[in-house]
Amino acid sequence: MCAYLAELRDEPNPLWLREMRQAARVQLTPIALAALTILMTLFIGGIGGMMAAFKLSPASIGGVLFQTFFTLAYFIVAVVGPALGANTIASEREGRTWEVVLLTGMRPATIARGKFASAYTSIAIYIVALAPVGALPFIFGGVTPTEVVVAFLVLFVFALLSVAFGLALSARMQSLRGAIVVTLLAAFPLASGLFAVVGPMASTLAHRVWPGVQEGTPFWYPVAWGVAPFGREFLLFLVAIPLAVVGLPAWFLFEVTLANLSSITEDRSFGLKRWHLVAAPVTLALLLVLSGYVDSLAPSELHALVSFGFVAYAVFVIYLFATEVFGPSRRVLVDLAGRGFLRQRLAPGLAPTRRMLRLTLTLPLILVTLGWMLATPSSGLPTTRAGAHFVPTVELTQIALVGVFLAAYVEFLIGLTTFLRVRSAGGSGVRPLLILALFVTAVGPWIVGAVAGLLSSRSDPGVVVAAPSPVFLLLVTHDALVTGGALSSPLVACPLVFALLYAAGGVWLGRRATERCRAAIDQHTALLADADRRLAEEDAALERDRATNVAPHADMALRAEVDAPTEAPPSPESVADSIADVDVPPEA
Amino acid sequence: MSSRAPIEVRRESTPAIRVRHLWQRYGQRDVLRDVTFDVYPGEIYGFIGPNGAGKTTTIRVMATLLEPMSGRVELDGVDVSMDPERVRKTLGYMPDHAGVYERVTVREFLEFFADAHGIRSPGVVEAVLELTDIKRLSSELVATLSKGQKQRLQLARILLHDPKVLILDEPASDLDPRARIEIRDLLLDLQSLGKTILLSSHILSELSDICTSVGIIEQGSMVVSGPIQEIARRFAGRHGGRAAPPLGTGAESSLDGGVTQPAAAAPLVPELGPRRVVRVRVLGDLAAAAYALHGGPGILDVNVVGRSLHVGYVGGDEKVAELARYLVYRGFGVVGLEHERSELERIFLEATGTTGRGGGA
Repeated sequence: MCAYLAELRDEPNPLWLREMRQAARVQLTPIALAALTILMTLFIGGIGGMMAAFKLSPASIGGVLFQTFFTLAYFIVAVVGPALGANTIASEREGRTWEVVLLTGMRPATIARGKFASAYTSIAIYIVALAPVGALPFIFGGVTPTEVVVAFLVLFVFALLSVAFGLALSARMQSLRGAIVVTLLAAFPLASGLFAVVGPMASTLAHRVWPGVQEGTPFWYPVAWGVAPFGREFLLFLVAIPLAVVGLPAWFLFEVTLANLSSITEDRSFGLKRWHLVAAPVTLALLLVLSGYVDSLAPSELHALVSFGFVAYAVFVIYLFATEVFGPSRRVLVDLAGRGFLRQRLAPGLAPTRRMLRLTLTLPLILVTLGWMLATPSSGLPTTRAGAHFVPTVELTQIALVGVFLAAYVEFLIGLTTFLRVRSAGGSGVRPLLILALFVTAVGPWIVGAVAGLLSSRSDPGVVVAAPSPVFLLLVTHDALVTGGALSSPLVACPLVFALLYAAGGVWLGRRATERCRAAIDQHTALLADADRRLAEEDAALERDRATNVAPHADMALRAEVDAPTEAPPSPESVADSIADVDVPPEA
Repeated sequence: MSSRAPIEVRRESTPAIRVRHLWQRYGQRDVLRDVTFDVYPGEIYGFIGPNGAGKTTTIRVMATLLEPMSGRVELDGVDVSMDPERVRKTLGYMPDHAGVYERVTVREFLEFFADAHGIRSPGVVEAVLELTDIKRLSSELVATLSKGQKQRLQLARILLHDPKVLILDEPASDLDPRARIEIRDLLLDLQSLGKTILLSSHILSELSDICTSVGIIEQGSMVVSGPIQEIARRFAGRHGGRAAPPLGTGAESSLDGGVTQPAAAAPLVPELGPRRVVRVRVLGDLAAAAYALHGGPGILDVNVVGRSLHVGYVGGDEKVAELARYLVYRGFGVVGLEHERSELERIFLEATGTTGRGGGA
């Protein structure tokens, strides 16, 4: 960190410096900042005045103003941050300066850092300009300095994510207008969802831990810092989990930006794989920790919650690596030669990626299920469902069923995606097909059942038509087990059968895909070797010509006069067919 | 600009740019088809072709911005696909219509790129400002520069890291005549500094004065490549030629004083080179001047076209000087001499005619 700061001081990123110089010459910026601050002041002052008219206590007014100000500031950052981020690389592309920047030899990481720093500096200036308005609630009271400071820190951290989001999208877009429109269209619903759904949900959990935190408020985090006593929960919920929740997406967005900035012959997926190796256990750990604070659910339900949460992450990761290249380019192979074990294991290619996904997604689901089964008491379980008494065998059966089914389902998705990738020349159709497969397997059976009129009752045997869907386990099998259904009953056995089918299908598709991929790589390697051999022969011929004093240009001066080569170079069709797949990067 | 020493092109050495069997395809269309050519150190290589012929695609592969589908491109012995970082250190690339940062000064613009290249020496920016003759503009905002000045700035930019090879895509497009001349002179200066320069254009007059070698590309295929004189000689050898008329016979000359059709496309005279035509503007009686020239050594035909004489001849510039001296000696006022068509134009027409695919893309 110190080294990074020293580097920032001694050798500041040239992109950052240049963009700051350019920004300093925009005369509109100070006017816009002043206008924003004045408008915000008038708005907050107006709200305060209105509330005072209703004879509310100053402390209440201060609290409301605090929430109002930071809500507004949150949405300003949610809009301006992504827009600034989107402006960075897309503007270089549109201004036709991008290629000359690339040719300076700056690494994608340096470019991304410089662009990020410039956009972040701009948004930070906006936040700083708003700071005096944020201090207004102090006049009324009811807000502690810690809360205000933490709230501003939250804004700065959220600005980091919003700029990184815009930057990641900008790295992929060619036109500035397109980048800004797409970024805002994606950012605003996301920010609104975070504010309206995730924030209040998290506040409910925080309220359980610290009753001083008001339930249902989206901007509860700074308040929690004021009311929570220092201890294990404080460190967990106010430090560790927020760090993970912010750090993982920020890192992910950085790696996506790097992948999008790298050329197709570079290893574009290594950074994302490295991220996944950290994100997968952290996500699982977060789910396990949070499940520990939910005391109203039975062990099987908690296991299902954790497993389904991890499957959601797994689907995201499978989607992320759906367009992985067939294998490393020659350049990457050369680069990999002297690298360490992990770097080699995470090399680009369908086969290593499939192996990684199986190890990091399917295996943890199985291990978590086994661990959960071992930790589940064998008798006397409490229940939250009136009239239903869980017995250990039912609990264990349900845990095992969910674990097996979800592990098989993830295995199937990995195999299917690998197979689709191999069948797709450019990889562009893989992601839509994956989404279609998810829809068909998870939602499709329910639609079929509803259309056929088979979903009138959960105990109706006809409901098994929905057994391919993972949700069937939660909605139907669980109840069937609780009400005494045996393993042999259709409502329990069918999901098990589909689990086996998913597992077998996933393994078969994955194997077929890796075999085909290996054949394509072998063919491509042979073509390249053939081309190398012919070029070497030409070199030898040229040397012979030189030795006999024939002008080097003599063989190429007039193409029309040159006889057709006795051995033609590899046809573009054959080469194209093989390398189009090998060199296509993952679309992060 | 400084006076220039003749540049020696070292063709026996390793080529500075080697393009071999390059193929590229967009969708189902082959935009490059087995493109092969070499550019030797110290050369100014004109890469000629109509719009859409594949010039920019070839250049983008050379500049490490595009991955070749098949084939190999080496710059200074380094494969552009295998080690693009190293190639970028030896390459200065000026794209067609390259953008600039408008709200920085000329000096800040160059300082940014110097920093981006990791150049520590503070004198480098100063040196390229001097070399490209834009030092007086160093405090000006880039937005206020003319097109020609921006083009000079781009040249300054690509010189910052002292690359061995310069690749310029249409460097003089959209420039006024003065700016074109300035850019041309600058390129000759850079050649004298030992740079290898490849510049593309579809305007032959841009290239004819400065190129030592050319490559003509059409519809994705190299039609011809090599030193201009060598290509001209090879065309001569390929087409055969007719013998230079013996002195004083005047057998081939038309002297009817009227407008006649030019001679057939570039007939050639073995050992003396191809037929050339020079337009001579003469004061006084054109028919008499034509008669005076008729049958002279190396003179193939003389036609009166409008207010000037079109003289077909074989030989070099000495022949033109001799012709002018003779006319003056005979009392005719010579007010202008102009080649009807440059060597490069002739080569281009010959080469594209060879393939039977003339015209632009």
